[in-house]
Amino acid sequence: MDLMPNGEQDEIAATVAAFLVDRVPVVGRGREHVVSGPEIDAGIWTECAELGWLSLGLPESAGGVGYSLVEEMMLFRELGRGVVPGPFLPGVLAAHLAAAAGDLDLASTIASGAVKVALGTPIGPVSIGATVAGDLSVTHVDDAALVLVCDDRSAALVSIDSCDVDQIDPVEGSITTGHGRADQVRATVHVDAATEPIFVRGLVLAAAAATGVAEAVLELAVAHACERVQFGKPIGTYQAIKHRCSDMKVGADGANAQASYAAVCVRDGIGAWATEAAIAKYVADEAARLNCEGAVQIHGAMGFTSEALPHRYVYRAHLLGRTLASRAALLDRIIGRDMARA
Amino acid sequence: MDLDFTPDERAFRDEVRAWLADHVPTEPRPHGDGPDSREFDLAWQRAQYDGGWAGISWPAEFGGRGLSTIQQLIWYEEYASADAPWIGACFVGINHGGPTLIARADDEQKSFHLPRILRGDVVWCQGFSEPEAGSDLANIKTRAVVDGDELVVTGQKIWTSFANMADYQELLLRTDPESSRHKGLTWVICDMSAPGITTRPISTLDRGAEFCEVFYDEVRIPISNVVGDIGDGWSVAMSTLSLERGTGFMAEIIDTTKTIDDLIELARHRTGPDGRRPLIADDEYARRLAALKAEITTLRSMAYRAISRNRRAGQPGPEGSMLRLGYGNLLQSMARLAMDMLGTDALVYIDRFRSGGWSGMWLRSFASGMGGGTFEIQRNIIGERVLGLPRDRS
Ligand SMILES: Cc1cc2nc3c(=O)[nH]c(=O)nc-3n(C[C@H](O)[C@H](O)[C@H](O)COP(=O)(O)OP(=O)(O)OC[C@H]3O[C@@H](n4cnc5c(N)ncnc54)[C@H](O)[C@@H]3O)c2cc1C
Repeated sequence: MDLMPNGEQDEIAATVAAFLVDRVPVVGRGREHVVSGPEIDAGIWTECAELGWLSLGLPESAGGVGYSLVEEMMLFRELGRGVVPGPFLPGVLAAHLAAAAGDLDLASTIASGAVKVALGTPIGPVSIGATVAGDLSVTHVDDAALVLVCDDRSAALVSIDSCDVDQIDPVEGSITTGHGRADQVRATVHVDAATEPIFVRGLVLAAAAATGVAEAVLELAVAHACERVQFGKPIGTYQAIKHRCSDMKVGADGANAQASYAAVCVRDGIGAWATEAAIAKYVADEAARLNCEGAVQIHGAMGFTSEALPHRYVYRAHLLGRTLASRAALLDRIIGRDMARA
Repeated sequence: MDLDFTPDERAFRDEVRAWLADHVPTEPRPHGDGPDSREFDLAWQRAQYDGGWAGISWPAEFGGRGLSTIQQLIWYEEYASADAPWIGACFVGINHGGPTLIARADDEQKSFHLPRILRGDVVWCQGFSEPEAGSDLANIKTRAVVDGDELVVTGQKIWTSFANMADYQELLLRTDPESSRHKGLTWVICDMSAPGITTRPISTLDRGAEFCEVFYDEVRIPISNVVGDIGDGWSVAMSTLSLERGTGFMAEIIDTTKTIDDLIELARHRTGPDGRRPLIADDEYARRLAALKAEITTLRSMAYRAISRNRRAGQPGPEGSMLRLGYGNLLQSMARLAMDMLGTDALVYIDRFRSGGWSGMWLRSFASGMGGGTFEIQRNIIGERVLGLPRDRS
């Protein structure tokens, strides 16, 4: 048993982080950056795909890098830390889905970045199988050809044109978002959760992204608390600030530990792995939300601006908390109530 | 990153499980902290020793098993699932007294004390806090004067758990009268039967009498009982506290997972606020229980990570304070939820060692933000030692 990353895993995370700092810095990207233009620069997207970010956990037999959900989890933590735009989550999940459904061509096309996939989070009851029907909250709409729809029973890819997506003006302006409706649409491919638990993988990866948000926004708060002087001392000297940072640290470390534990459980089929993943998502969303609130408050008025960075994390945490499953739905899964009701 | 156990570790788990199934006491631990509590705790410790299960990660030359911290973790997990009793009066000796000796004592001290702790011959207590030195531990005033090869101790400790039933004590003293704060302190093993020691039990909010005031009137302690060096007591005490805050709580974290499962089970059977359906069908209760389950599961993952990290570092770091803080908070919200679930049935007092002892557990939970450093002190440690925020004290 060893729940710390090994050398190779640390190196993957460090490489990703270095690339992001260099090529996709959060600093300087104001809200305006994204509302019009494309969600992610085409060149950077292709480079990320070439680096294997969409196929990290795909088996080599399916054209992937051959790592696992654990390494994917570490990648998504970095993507969260960097509040990176781009359809990484649906892309990674869709490649797994296509590979599990036996469509290796589609898997490698998605993994190469050539075909972009949006993510459809069900609104109310959605039936998912050979045909898909129901209302969807669709993210990463920009330039996508397909939409990934999944729940704890199955996952499917449908053409985005058949989903009638109306774009909205999203709070998280760096991610193109809309409302869609699938009316008995035939799936391009689909797979049931017993074959490949796409939804549970998604919970772990979204949890990792929220963990990254929680950690990075805490670092901003701590740096500000060390720097900003009031009443003759750095404000981090005062316990009202210090203790809030400490609570934020407990939340972020818990989220990271649980995302790690859940990733290993899902990878290796250990214990109640689906519940571990739901817990990971719930605690990471909580930590991200609480840490964003804390960071804004600790920055004072500066925290309320779109010139300081915390607002970017506020938007991203808000989106992640509404991705794949809501807080209430996660809690119901954790206590086993969703089954009883269905 | 993995959660794999080796074949040896799996075989170890099977052995532990089989032994516990046959040997865990069936009667509850007596509440009240009197002589029968001491007898119960020591008898159970002795049974574990006789079975070969005491001091799993302690060195073999001093009576331990010399196994890994992973095997220690397996033991805790199986211990909790077997519903084995709370460690009680053996807490100090097993969880931080013995481990402090392993880390800092000389061979003579180790070979005398460690086997006695493991065999369940003796109870240890911790004499750190004083009336003027609580959170501000460096303000210790109980003093010791060197007289030949003895220390002569005069002063007072307070909040010393199990002092009235203890044989030995981790005693933190001021040996240099000119010194202040962290300097001039000494960590010494005190024989509680020495002349000049009197104890007065203090009754507690949860109807026990776990801790005492301890008075020292020219108590003579051999200098050979000093652990580390004279004047080096602060550093030894910090070892003790990091052990107390870190892995010392692992067993309880794992045990609490079971308590929360019990609470969820209760919610399936008790009628909820609408007077018809079970509590679990009520959104508010179901989600509070789910959040609690998520939090304890996360603490378990944090503990696994702490074990993994400590194994690389060779010792516990300040991260133990995160477990301590998270766990203390969780105990309080769990107890509060149990009280809400029980309604007027919570009016009856049942001590926490008996089945259905939720009210006793709730009363006890008020202490979970105090022992081993209060919530506020843990937050200072996390802020300053983990996050690197500026200090505001000497
Ligand atoms: C059940 C129980 C068992 C115990 N067993 C033992 C034992 O066996 N041996 C032993 O030596 N001690 C023991 N203690 C004592 C324990 O270590 C102390 O209670 C603890 O260190 C706090 O000290 P205090 O009670 O004097 O509170 P104080 O230090 O007076 O604190 C009072 C309040 O002020 C806050 N406070 C103090 N300083 C600061 C600060 N700098 N910043 C912010 N807030 C601050 C505290 O957090 C607390 O809320 C036990 C306590 C309990 C409750």
